[in-house]
Amino acid sequence: MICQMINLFGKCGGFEAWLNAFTYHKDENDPNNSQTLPPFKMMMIILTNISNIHSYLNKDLQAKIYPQIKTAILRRLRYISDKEIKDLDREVLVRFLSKAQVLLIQHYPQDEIFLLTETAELDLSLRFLTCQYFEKRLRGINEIKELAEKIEVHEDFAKDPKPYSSIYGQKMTKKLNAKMFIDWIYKNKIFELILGDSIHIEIIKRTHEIIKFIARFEKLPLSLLDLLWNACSDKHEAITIGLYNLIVEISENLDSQGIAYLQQKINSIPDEEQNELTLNLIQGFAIRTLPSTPSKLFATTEEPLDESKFHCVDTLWRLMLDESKISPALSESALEGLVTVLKEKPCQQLKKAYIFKSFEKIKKKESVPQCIYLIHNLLSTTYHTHRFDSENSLVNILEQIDVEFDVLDLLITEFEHFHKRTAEIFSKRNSDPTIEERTKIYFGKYSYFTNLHNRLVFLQYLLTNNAYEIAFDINQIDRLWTLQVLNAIWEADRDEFFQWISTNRGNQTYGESSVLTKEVIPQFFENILCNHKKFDFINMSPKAFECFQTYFRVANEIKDNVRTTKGSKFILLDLNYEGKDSLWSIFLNCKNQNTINKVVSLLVNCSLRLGPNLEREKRKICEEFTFKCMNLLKEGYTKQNDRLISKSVLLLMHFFDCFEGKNKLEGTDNGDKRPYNINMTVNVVLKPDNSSKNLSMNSTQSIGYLRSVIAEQFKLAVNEFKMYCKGSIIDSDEDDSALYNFPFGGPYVIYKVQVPKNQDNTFHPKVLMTQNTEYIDLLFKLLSEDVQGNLGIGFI
Amino acid sequence: MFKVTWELGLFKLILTLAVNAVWDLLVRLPINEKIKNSLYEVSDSWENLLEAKSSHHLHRLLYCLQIIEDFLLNKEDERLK
Repeated sequence: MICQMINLFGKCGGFEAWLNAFTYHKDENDPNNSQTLPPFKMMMIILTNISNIHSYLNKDLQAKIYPQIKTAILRRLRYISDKEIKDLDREVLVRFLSKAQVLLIQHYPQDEIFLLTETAELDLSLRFLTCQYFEKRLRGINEIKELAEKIEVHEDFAKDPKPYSSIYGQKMTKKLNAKMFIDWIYKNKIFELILGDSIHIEIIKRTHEIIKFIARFEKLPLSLLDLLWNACSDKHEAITIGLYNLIVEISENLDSQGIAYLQQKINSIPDEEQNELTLNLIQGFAIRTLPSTPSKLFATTEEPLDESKFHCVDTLWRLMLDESKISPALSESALEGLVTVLKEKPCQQLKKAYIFKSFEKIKKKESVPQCIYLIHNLLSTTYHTHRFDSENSLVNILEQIDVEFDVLDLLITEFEHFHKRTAEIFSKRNSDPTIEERTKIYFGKYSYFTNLHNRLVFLQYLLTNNAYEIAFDINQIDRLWTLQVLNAIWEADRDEFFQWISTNRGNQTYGESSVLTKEVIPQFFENILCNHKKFDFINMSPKAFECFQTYFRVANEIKDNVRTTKGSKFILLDLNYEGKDSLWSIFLNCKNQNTINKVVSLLVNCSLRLGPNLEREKRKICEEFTFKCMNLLKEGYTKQNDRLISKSVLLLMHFFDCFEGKNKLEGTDNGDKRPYNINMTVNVVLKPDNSSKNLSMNSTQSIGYLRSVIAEQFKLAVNEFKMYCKGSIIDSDEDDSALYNFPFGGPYVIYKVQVPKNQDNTFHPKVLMTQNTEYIDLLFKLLSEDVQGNLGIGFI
Repeated sequence: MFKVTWELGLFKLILTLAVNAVWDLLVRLPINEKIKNSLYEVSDSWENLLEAKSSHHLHRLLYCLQIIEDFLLNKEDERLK
């Protein structure tokens, strides 16, 4: 029945009509021929019909119609107008190709048809890629990329057919192989098309995989590199970034010739044309073309370093140096890039070479801040104290550097040279350097400030490293002191140096992380800090005194003259402590009021914070201290020196405060960052009366201050009560601690106690003073006499 | 005349930091027994005890007046704290 109907259909000219409709076209030379081709959907219907009756067709008819169908399909795919492609659904095309494949396989060999349809897919992709609509072009490149992925699976499968190949069926091409694909790419000038006038970043991004695919199967031709390189010029930044990323990404797939070619191209960029993008390109290229890492983990013998295996690393080095013609900002980027490259594992030997190279530069006093940065960064991040392999051992590298360069001496000599250069700038002009000039005057690529900062930071790193001992001798400290203190160009330099030399001291006690070693500190303290020829006592800034104070404690701790208890409490163990005369000398000579306050505090502490061995001598010490202060007052009166009088009064008043346990310094003075700076209400309960008061305090205020406020509020002397919090007594030892170290808000419980007998009136320095009529008379004289016109009252 | 000069003197006294400091120190001390006793016992004429005639001893006068005030108001104990 079906056969009869088919025959009848044929006799009625049905097949001819089908074929006419299916193969309808105008002459190929007709520019409008695409308009007249049958629609894909119609062709699909006819294909479906023919497929359905294929088994009923005789061989002659098959031989007659299939070639025409095949030709019509190929023609249809070849001619798709822009207008048509705009509205064309990809799914329709996929179904169309699938139908065509199913039908043609009935008549033609499978391989031929697979090849035909897969090639047709490629051609369709090209058609999309050349379309004027961006969306379609994107689809075109995506399809080429997807085909490349399928071919990759095909090639892998060809090499090693897997038992589960069926799962790859959909993900690999049947016939199209890498060679055909690559030939097709070159033949159709796909890259010329991508990198041509209609270049777009999204298309470039999708090209990476295609080029990498080619590189996997064939050597990338130099012409492609040329094409890529030339495409980069005069493009929008986003395009250039995309192209540079593409070059970087494919560079790891290049052979030595390709790498050399690209390296030559990169090195041909003039300094004037360098920018952040080119520097990223250089860095990326250098990293992607690094030689493979040696497999041995614990190398004992080093093979000679072949720097030619590393590409463009020297370019980054050249660009970061002072002599390059790029801007300081770019130079810094080059430096960062170089550091990044050298941190890569294959650069194990190379980074060492660059560390040595940097030291050579420092020796020549060239490009010092950047060389220091490079060395410091590499040493601190890529070498380790505890490593089994000698290659990454910090001890080894530091030892080698020290042996080769005598590192501290080298750095100080260079520091002297740098200081001299700076001083020369100002010696040629009449005006003093302004503070702004610290960051505005440049030496090479970096400002004076960065130059100084890098040197100090690196020195500190070397001096405080725990791996290999590198330590100043007194002569070296003296040289630095001369530069940064005696001949400091800016006052700020001096203060920064004081801070630098006093840092990393833990709780202000001697520690392993100190800039100076235990051996040299006593000499430093005695010969420099206590030497008024080396240290300006008169104009001493608070920072300068903090430096003095730090080493005062450390030097005395070393000699067991003082002890620092937990909570940084300072306790004097020997009255003949180091620096005593200098401390008094600073007190007498210093003009800076903030510094004087600090000196006063230390002087009083040295008289009142006595160790158990000195407790018995407390009275004598107090008498001597009072006597000394009164003598100073007398001297101030005699010499009509109002400054001395003010200082002496300040000292006495602070002495009284501390003796009475009052800490007039509200805040703590241990220099902490005060992380809990909040206002709070402290509840205080007096036992056994159970009367309570709420006191407003700040968490950074000291316990000593709280004690004095409690005394005032409850009308008690500070030694008339004991203070507890959460069941624990708060001793006067804790007076310097901030409130935030104790439970917030309390409650603080106080109990009245009997005043100890040794704190009776006869012992108190105030009583010592008032009992001495001579002292009282002196005070009246000071109030009455005209001392340098400052104290005078002047009556009408 | 005395009142005016005294007030002006006090004004300048307040302005002068160093004088303030010395005065603060003085008043912080317990009362000098010798001066206190001479006032308590009225051992001399008030003019001499207070040294009121001497413009150079203005502070002594003030000091003595404070001792008398302390005596009258019984504040001495507080000063000792």
